[in-house]
Amino acid sequence: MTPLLEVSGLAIDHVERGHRRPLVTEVSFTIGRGETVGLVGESGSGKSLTAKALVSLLPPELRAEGSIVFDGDELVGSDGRVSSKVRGKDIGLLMQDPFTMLNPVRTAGHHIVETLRVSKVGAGLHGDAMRAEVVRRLAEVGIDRPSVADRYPFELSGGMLQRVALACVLASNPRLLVADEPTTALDATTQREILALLGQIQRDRGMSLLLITHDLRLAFASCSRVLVMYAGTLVEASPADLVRTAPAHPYSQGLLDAVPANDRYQQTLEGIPGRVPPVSEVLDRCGFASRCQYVAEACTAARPTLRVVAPDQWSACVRYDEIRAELRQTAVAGISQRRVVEARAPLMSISELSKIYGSGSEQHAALAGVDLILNSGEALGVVGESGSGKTTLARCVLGLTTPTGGRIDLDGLDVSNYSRLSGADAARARRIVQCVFQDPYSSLNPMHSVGYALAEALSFRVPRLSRDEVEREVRALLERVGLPASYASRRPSALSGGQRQRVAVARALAVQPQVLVCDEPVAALDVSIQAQILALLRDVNEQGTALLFITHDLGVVRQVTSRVVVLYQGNIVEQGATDAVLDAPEHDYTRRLVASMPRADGTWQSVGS
Amino acid sequence: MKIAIFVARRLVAMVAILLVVSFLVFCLLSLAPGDPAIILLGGPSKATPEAVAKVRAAYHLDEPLIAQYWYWLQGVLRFDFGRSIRSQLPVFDSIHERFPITAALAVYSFIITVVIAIPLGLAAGVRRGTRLDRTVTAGSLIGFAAPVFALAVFLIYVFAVQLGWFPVYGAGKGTIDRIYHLTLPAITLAIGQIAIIARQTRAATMDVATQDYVTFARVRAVPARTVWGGYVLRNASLPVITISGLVLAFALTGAVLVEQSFALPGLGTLLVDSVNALDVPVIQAITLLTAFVILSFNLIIDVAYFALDPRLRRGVGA
Amino acid sequence: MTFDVRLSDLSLEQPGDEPGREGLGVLAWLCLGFVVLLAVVAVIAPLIAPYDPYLQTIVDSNQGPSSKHLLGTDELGRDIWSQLIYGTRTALVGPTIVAIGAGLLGTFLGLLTGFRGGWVDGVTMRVIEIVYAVPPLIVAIVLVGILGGGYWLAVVVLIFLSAPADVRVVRSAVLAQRELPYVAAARAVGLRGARVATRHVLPNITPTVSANVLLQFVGALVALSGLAFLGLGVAPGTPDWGLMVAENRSNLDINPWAVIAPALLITLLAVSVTILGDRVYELLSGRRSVG
Repeated sequence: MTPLLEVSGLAIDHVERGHRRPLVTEVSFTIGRGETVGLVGESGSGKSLTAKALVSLLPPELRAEGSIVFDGDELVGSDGRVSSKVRGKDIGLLMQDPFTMLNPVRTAGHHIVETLRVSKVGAGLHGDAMRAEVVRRLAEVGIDRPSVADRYPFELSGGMLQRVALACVLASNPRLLVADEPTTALDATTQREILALLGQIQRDRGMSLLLITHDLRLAFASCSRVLVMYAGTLVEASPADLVRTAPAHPYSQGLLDAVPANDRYQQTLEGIPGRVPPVSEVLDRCGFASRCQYVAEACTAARPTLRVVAPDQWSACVRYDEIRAELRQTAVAGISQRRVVEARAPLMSISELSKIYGSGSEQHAALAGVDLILNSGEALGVVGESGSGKTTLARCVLGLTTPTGGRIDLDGLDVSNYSRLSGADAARARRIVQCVFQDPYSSLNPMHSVGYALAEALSFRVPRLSRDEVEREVRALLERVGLPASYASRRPSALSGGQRQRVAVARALAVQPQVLVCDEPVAALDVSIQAQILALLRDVNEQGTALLFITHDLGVVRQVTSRVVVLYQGNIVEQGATDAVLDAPEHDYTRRLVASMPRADGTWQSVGS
Repeated sequence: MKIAIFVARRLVAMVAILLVVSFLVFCLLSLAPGDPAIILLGGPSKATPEAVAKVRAAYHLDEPLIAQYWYWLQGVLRFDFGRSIRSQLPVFDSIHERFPITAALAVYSFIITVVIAIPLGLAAGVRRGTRLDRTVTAGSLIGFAAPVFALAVFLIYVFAVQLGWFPVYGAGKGTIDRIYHLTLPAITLAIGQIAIIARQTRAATMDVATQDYVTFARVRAVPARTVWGGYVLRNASLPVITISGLVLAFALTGAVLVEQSFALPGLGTLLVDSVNALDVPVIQAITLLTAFVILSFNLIIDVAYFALDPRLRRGVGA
Repeated sequence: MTFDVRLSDLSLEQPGDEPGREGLGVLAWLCLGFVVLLAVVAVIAPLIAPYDPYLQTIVDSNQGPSSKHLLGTDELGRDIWSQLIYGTRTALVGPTIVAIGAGLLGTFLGLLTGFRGGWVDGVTMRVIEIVYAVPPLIVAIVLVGILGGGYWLAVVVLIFLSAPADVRVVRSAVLAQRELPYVAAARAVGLRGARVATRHVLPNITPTVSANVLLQFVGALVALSGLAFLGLGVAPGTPDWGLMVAENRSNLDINPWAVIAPALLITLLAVSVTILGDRVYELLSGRRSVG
């Protein structure tokens, strides 16, 4: 049976004034009818560009070469543009951010009607018949309330918006659906529903699905075949099971190792050192060579091509035959023992903490009476999704928000209301608690050099230091977080996301706090970098600093914390030892949460054991 | 219901501001150097003791300031601004006489502005970096920075003096003649407005064109015409409406200079003449009228915003 | 017309690279050069002006350009070229004072209201709303006219009328920065309000403030010359570009240069400083202002 989509030697270049800069090279793959294929890669891999090429959305300065054949029709023109004749009809694209995909001044139903009419599927339908069709389409994506059709986008939740967008894309009855990170912007619990929905619709319609994601576990759980992209090219194409158990490329192996497991504790957290190189710099060699542990002469001699290395498995690693066995070993196999921490004195205790926004009938309780205790040197996880109150909790502890009620006690100091503290007390409180925020791009002042930021933080612990002492301390801090001393003179804009996050940790450590509050510190980073930062935080914890670690990612919480607290709509619904809570959740919500993240082996934990 | 409450609140705010402004405007008389009575009479030469006494009584000048203000305000609410010192005619009549010219000029320039600026801004916004875009950007910059009276002088020299296509001065008689006379002034006044609106339209269009919802529409093969109308225009119109208040202020200011440049007998020249002659009642009336126009316009803009943006309508707050 | 979105508008999965040309650029250098030239002329005016700009010669009145008078004379026989040269003074000094004065006042108030919020913010914003009820130039016309006119009076009035724009710009810039995590981090490290404002936020709003000061210059230049054009502002007979346009308008057909030259100079100066303002913003912030 001929495949539905056949891509051969696709290359995308940026052409500007005769200057050619390659962005994607040598991408070849096929998608069969009704097949689910996952395209996995991190930022800079070129996966989004490839998706855009398929639906003819490349910006005018980009040129496509090679071949894209859809159902027998060649789409790439001789002028470097991709034909748009199948876009919106046979090939549909579901984009990443449900909150910005729909026109804010039009209702949900309007979008569906629009697509129906445009694709001629809805030609001839008017009035009641059209309305009935809209309701039917909404039902197909799991929306049972017809009134949703009259809602504007700002009135709907992320999950609902994604369903509406999906209904729009399906309105033209496409044969191939390209879904670009469809669940990244959604809560974990919604994620599984949407993926299940996609799978169901696919089966019912016999539709092919190209799922683009950075999350390997999602790809394993949903796809039959996985394509791995790195630095603008495909490095592996294999059945999902084989990528998982017998990866054919060192990068695939690295990615597998870097994902923090959510079903067991890992002794070591392995990221992939280094950074993704620009495509133009690695045209004559293997793009992964600079970061690969198996690198040899052959790797840098010439550009490797994707070839068959095993039945149904393609790899771009020239050394595959030699290192095949080693690739199977993951660095983190087996059960590992968590280090036992002896009980210590309570350092921070929070009781009945509440924060209410608004007044009168328009009140909203971000926190509704939270009690928790953090012991000295402990790593406590706070797990919750959006709206759980986790960020509000962090802000209250840090004194950035004043709680409406309740009490926060820090090492004997009552910090329930920072604004009422005396100068000396506030300074003392701030030396006990420090923070690392989620967004590495705006948590550092873009106008200050790294050295200045660190020196400023230092001056709060030790006000009078000589220039030499400051330089020494700054150097020591940078070393502590694994950055070269030369970075002190750089501005944040010259650093990568992972590097900036390290600086943020260094800045927090400069004050030598007893508690480090981390609010989703790795959520904005690539998987291969995440592991490095998590390892750093683990290290900081092992050296005596307590962590209040806030996250939605169960894998991350498993690896870094020994005790965990689950927040749901401003209340703690469950707490206990991390392993116990994640292995045998008791509360309904925790169960749903655990069930919504696929395990490392690609299976889902059943909902409601 | 929500919209009624909204309008009511804005209306109350507007009245409050108008009251404050009216008080300040009233104080202009006290601000002027010299005895108010003498000023109202038109100068020391006319200040015979009887005349002074009469004026003091008529304008309640011996009573406390607040009382004077109260009397004045009562008159204002009846559209009675007193008498012009120069012409001795009721101020209201002078304004009434001059109003049509200024209004015609404003409307004429507004039409020219909208017809040219919006399509230009849209086109430039969608075709960023092209020659059209660069031309529009450069033109906007010059049109905005150049002073109105300088533009007037250039246009007069080229089109009126050298080419003789248009008359230099005056407002003409009769409708066709009036339109003919007002063309050059209207174009002069429009240039600055076009610059502001085109620039803003371009920015808003650029912003909207890169939004996900436009991309998603293209992905669904929504025809270009619908994307333009329902997506780009609808969403870009919001920020453009925001600056229309600025455009109005610019237009009012520009009208004064344009009228002066082209010797049009409108409210602008009336203001200038009155200021030069210290004809305080007329100055007060025109200033208050200006404030009223601007505040009313702002109110209308707020309501338009409310009507266009469903987020405001359903009460999520701007 | 299609909607091809340009590459630079998309985030291409490579965060961290910021666009922004290095250096000032040819156009901006030209503008800067022009402004500097005018400033130099203003300073050395007595040395290079061929005639005393106040000198009236009835005999030579209303002449076109000639070897004796480079751009001719006006109705009272004064040399146009000399008037232009001396006119640089009123064109540069007043607007500079207004821009800096309004900038200082506005930035201070903007920082205060942006950070404090509360009643200070409320009162200030209401006052600004009232000020904006009448366009600034019209208020200037009224105030300057009623108070008796004069260049320096106009300058002082304009400082107070231009400050609200600065307050608004700075305030909204502060509000935008205030929510960013680096400000929260600075507070978490223990910095108090004023330190956060000056050390952290101010450097980040410098591009906005600087560009705005330059734009205020342009506004003040246009306003001052506009006032002169209307007969308010500078005293009659003073060499001032705006005044020259007004005084020589009636002789547009006899000696157009007397009118065109000053009008052109004002326009060129305004455009130059506007371009500089845009370019300064781009340079300092690494971003394009309106694209």
